[in-house]
Amino acid sequence: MLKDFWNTAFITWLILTLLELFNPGWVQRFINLEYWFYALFFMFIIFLLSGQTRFHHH
Amino acid sequence: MPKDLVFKFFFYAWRGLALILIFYVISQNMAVGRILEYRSDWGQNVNPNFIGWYPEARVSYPEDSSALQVRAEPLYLQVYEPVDFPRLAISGSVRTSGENINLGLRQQDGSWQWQVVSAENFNLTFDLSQASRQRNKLEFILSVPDLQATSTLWLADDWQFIFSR
Repeated sequence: MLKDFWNTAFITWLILTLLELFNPGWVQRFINLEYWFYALFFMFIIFLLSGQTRFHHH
Repeated sequence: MPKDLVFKFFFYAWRGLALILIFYVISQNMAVGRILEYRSDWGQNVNPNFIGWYPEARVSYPEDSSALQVRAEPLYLQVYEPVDFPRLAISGSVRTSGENINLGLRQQDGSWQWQVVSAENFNLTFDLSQASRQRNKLEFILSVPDLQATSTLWLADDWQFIFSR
């Protein structure tokens, strides 16, 4: 469930980042994409440490 | 079975929230009408529509005043313009002790399109055809060449920015 949340948040971040790249300011006016990225990265590290990523499946 | 339901609920909830967020952002930027109107919010130096006035050390916004005090000049303001408009009307009021106030809009060639704020309640119209747009933002300069340490210059927090087609 958390992994699904992460995936959705990541795809949403990608879409919003593309939107921001093509229309500068559209997204950054309302949402800080940098902090969003840090949150994703932080969650990813937590997943790595708890062995919940696919890279750790044997 | 209930566990499946919970998973299903969150599966759709995350995607639903993501879609709402994306459509919210797009809808806030699709200025399809003939006019787009902003109201000043000098108390918040960075907000979705404005960045400024800055440098911040040159202004102060006492909480009980609903106006911005100008201590030094020049000042700069960036105004967000999600899609290109040909005209921008700015109206509002200022309180001065007799200083000359000029408001300039940065042009593509680096010069400024100047307008004089000649009355306490002013109404200016800027032609945006040659305006410089940096990342969809217009840049303004407020110049008060005869501002003294003893001057009292206040920008009331009632400015309106009306983009029109």
